[in-house]
Parts: sequence; structure tokens; C-alpha cells
Amino acid sequence: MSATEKTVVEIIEDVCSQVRVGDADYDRALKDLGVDSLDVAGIFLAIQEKLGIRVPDNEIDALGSVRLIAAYLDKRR
Amino acid sequence: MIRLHSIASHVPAGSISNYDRREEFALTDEFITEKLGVASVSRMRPEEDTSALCLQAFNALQDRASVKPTDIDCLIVCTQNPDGHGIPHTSAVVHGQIGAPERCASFDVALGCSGYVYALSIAKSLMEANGLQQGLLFTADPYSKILDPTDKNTVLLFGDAATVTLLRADGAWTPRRFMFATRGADGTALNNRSGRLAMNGRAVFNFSATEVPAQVRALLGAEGLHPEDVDLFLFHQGSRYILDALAKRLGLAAAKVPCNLADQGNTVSSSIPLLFERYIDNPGIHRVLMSGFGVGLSWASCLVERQG
Repeated sequence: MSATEKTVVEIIEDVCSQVRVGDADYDRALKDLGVDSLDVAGIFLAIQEKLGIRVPDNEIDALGSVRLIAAYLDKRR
Repeated sequence: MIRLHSIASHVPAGSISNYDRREEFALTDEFITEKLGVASVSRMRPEEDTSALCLQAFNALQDRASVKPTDIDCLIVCTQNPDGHGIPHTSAVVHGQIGAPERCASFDVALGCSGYVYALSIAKSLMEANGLQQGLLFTADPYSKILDPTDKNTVLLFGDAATVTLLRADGAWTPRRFMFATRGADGTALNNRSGRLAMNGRAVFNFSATEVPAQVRALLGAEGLHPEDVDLFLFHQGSRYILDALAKRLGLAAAKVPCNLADQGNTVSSSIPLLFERYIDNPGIHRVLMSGFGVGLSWASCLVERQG
């Protein structure tokens, strides 16, 4: 688990109190983990506030798992 | 000093259940209950218009408070969906329907979800500056006129309603301080595109979740108050999700952030007075902070306190 992946998991679990992300879930679709469209807005706002990276609307749909989000954030840093 | 005396409302009996749309919009019960917070959205009848909702709210007010139409000095309607095409202004239509006197100042305020707080300040200032004794502040913004029935982002959220607030010197609730803000550059996040409401949910959420807590903290700070000094935080009822986010970000107990979305949905400028109507006669509630936010982007907050 990379540091960025760990941070993404912490953000997801903080924003979505009902969601728990296990070690085997990093490639699973967020919606399969119980993350809905409103949660997605909350997650990316938290990312923006915590990491200072604003993800454009048209790029969010492609970031559907912990791994994809973390890789995207690492590229933007 | 002009104060809030009474609030009455009218929520049309017509409604559409979001549970009946589970298949159409791929909704889960949990999403409807925990995220939207809206079980059904209220809808006025096709033959009704904005002024008709106001008139029903006024009828309800007359059952609650001693108010003669001929004594009204000021009549304001907060709406962005006026009767017809807005000419004449809806407040003039309501003025004629209730039989208010010719000396009565009547005008519309074209604001959305921040409108109640703004219009409260406008009404109070106008009345105090001109010695007006009795005012009616209506909110009525039936978004059903402009909803796209296929747009999941909006059609599951917005409901029709009207409220009226009676303002006069012998009211119990005194507005203490107002704060206003506008970010017109981001106005396309929530707008009317060729007659249909369009909303960028993410942009509206980001704006609400960041700017509203900041304004609330600024308002409390300006008054030397802390969140525990306030009995209730009456936020615009955007969605259950945004209410939960605001409570979390401000560290407020859920009991201090009431929600009444379930039976009618987000009623735009009516949402705050519709909620305050529940508490205005509750002697255990002394200090309330109201905050409206949305179309504009526009946001406004105020503190109101019970006298005595």
C-alpha cells in the first residue's frame, strides 16, 4: 500500500462512514464498496482540501477505484 | 423594531414518491432516505400558479394570527418563478387577491435558496426606515415549473411550497445580525437553461460545504458566540447529504440541525421558514441561526433571538 493509497482510503472512510476499504479492495469499483454519486463529491472535496489537488469534473468518472485515484494524485503532485 | 411574529405555510397536497422511481433512476432505499432525505416531492396542480400558493399560505396565517389585509403596509414575495412571465410582479397579484390597501408597498425579490434571509433583512430595513407597521414576507418558488422530469439531479429533490412570515413590532423574534455573500462568477452551477433547471451537483456541494460553515463561523464570531450558544441551526434544506456535511464540518449535534425534507423536498426559499414554523412558538428555543445558500451563487445567514 502506497502512502497516497493509504491517504485515499482514510479520506473515503472519513467521508463515507458506512464504507470500509479492505486490503483487497483497492482495485474494486468504489460503487461496489457502497460509495454513491453524492459520496464522490464529498471524497473529491476532501482530497482538494487535504492535498490541494482539484480534480476536474470531466476526469472524475475515470477515477473509479482507490488505486486509480491514488495513481492520478501521484501524477498531479 | 420590526420582529418576526408568526409563520404559516402551504405545501400542496399533490406529491410524487421517490420510492416509486427506484427503478427509473436506479435508486436504493438507503440513498433516498440517508442521502436525499426526500421520500416525496410536493407538486402544485397544473392550474395553480405561484400567487395561489401564497394565497393559501396567507389563509393559513389568518388562522394563526390576528392580521387584517387592510392593515398590511408591506408585501414582499421572494420568488424566481413568478406568476406567468413575471409581469405584473407576483406580489402585486397577491396584493390584489388578499385585498391589501393601496398604501401597501409590494415588490418581488428574485432570489433562490438564500432568499428568505435576504428578504427578511430587506423587509425589516424598509419597514423600520419608513415607519411601516405590518409586513408580509412570502416565499414561493415552485420549481416544478422548470424541472426536467428526466433529470435525476433535480427532479427527486425539489418540491413546491409557500410560506408567509408576519413582521411587526409585537413579534417575539428579533433579527440580530445578517451576513450576505455572492459569487456570480460560478452562477452556472445552478441555473435555468432554456426553461429547464440545470444543476452541477458537485459544484453546488463544494460551494455549500465550504462557504456556509465559513459564514456561520464568521457570524458567530462577530457576535461573540459559540455553536453551543445557539439552540438551532436552520440550514436551507438542500439535501440530507449537505445537511449532514454542514453539521459534521461545524461540529454540531444532529439534534441542532433539524431536517424536514422527507415530505416535500427542497422548497428553495421556503425551506427555512417552513422549518422555523415548527419552532417559532416553542418557548424552549431562544436563539436560532438561519443560513440559506444556492442559486447565484448566493448565501446569507442571520441570527434571530426570542425576546423575553
